[in-house]
Amino acid sequence: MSHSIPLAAAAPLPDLARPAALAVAVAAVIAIPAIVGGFPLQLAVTGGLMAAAAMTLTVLTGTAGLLSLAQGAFLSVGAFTAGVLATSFGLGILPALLIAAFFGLILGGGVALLTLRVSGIYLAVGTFAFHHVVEILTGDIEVKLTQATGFILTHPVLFGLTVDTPLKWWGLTVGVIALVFVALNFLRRSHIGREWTFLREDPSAAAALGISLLRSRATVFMLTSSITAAVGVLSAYQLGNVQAGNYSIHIAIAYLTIVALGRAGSLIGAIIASYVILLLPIPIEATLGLFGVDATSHIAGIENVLLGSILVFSLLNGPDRVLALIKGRLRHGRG
Amino acid sequence: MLPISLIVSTASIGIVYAVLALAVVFIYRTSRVLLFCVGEIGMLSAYVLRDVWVWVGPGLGGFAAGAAAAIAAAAVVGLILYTVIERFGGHHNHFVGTIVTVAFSIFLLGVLSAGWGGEISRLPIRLGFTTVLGQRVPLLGPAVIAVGVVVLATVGLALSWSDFGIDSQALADNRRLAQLRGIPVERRLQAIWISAAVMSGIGGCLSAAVSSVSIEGAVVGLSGIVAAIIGGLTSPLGAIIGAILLALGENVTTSLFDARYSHVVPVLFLVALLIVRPSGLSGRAESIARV
Repeated sequence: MSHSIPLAAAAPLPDLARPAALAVAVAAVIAIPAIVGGFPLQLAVTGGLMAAAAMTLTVLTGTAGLLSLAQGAFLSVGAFTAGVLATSFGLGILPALLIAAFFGLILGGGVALLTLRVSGIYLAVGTFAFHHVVEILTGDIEVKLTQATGFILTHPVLFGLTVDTPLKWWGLTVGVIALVFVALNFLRRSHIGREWTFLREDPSAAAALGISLLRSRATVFMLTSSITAAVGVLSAYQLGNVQAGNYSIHIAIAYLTIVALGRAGSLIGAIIASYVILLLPIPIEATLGLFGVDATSHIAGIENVLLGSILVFSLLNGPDRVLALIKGRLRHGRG
Repeated sequence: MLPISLIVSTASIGIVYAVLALAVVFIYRTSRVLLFCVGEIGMLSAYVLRDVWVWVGPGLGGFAAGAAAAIAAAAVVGLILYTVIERFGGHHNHFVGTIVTVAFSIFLLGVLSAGWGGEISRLPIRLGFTTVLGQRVPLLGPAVIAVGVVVLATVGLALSWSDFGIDSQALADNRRLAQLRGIPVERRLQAIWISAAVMSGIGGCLSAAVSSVSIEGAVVGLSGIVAAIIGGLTSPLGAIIGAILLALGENVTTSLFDARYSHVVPVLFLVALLIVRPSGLSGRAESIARV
């Protein structure tokens, strides 16, 4: 038995090294934008809020297997809640967050009930219809309340602190990402999350074991929609204005691209892919500039072309195919 | 009595939706993939038609050259879609295949935006007016209806009588069995994807003829998809009936309320169908996953 002591004493070193390296890496990732400041810091904030919303979609689509095209709709629910509450009722960000989360919860439950009889492609069509309903309603609200100019939001005050600098926004964003990550990770590992996965893998077996489809689907839709709507409030405040045109179906598709690129179900993947998609226009613009093309007039179109190509590439396991091809070539070369 | 112009307008819009819906049905029957980019293929063809027509000249020759170029452009997109979805495994998972078509809609919107910017224009059509039952009606409407009917009739005849049609029905029923019976599955699938893309192109050009050539015009694809869903996704006749019902609903809404609310009609149809009858009018959507 005595030989077990030195073995036990030697083992913790590599076990500790990994989390320590991870902590250093995370700290560096958080610190770098704050040190650099300026435009990169603003991009870090925007990407971080995108990542928070993308994490909810990756759980809905990847973990629970429910394809949704309503991500833009839930973000716009949050943004319009913030806009209406601020301009018509003089309420700040905190009530907006709570009320938007509540709306997200109710509407998410509604979508789950509405689409209970269908799944797969039909579910996507159902969420697509929901997106259009929200688009029509928010468009009408914008016309009636702001004469189609949109809502203007001032710097939010959160627990007595005015979030008026990019650095403060970055602090808030890091907190939000951490909170959403921990909450979703906890949920996925809990019995609720395992039910979602089971229903995705084998709905009939799950039903035979007494798992309620209604409860499970309603739970995942309500929770993810609620968080997405709250993120919509934060994004609206960060942007400073709310316009229906900012929440087109392309937003939903951009989020699906993020989920596909980061591998459906992976929270870390969703965070990384959010930044990849956000930063994509920068190299495009630079490359076009090298060839003397005026990027400003074409950038939106080329961005869409690349977005579509990346989505196709990710969906058809492009990265794995390329890796397999490279490995095959290397093996062939050695042979 | 209903104004003739309203009837002609409803029929021409219905025909546009029917052609687009038929393209959606064509693909869904054989690949179980929902063709989300039907409107974008349509608008790409419409832009090509307009550019070539204007470039060659405003006469019949210009139109013929433009139409050929528009069909060729749509066919190329169809071939690319076939290659990506059928050859690279998108069809193994219907969800992935459908999202690939969503990605293609983004890709094509990007192409339209980068190539033509936000340009909105009309096709150089110069048709006069005719008098029906004492009412003056623009000839454009009947012309669109005539072209649409010819397309639908050709597709109907091809599906019922040609080898291609019979093979594609066999493919729709059971791809594996069709392969075992010696049907050249890959060639037929290629032809189906190209035909569906060409139908989308024709639908887009007809839509551009009744309204305008614009990126926003791609939204007509949504109505085509909704019409196909109303019809049950696998039934060509159901899709045509769905298209007529949808056009009627939109035009009645425009006449009674406001043109703005006509956009709500397809959405309401969709929501109502999802709640009441997800399998559509024909009730033959074999693969709706019920859990």
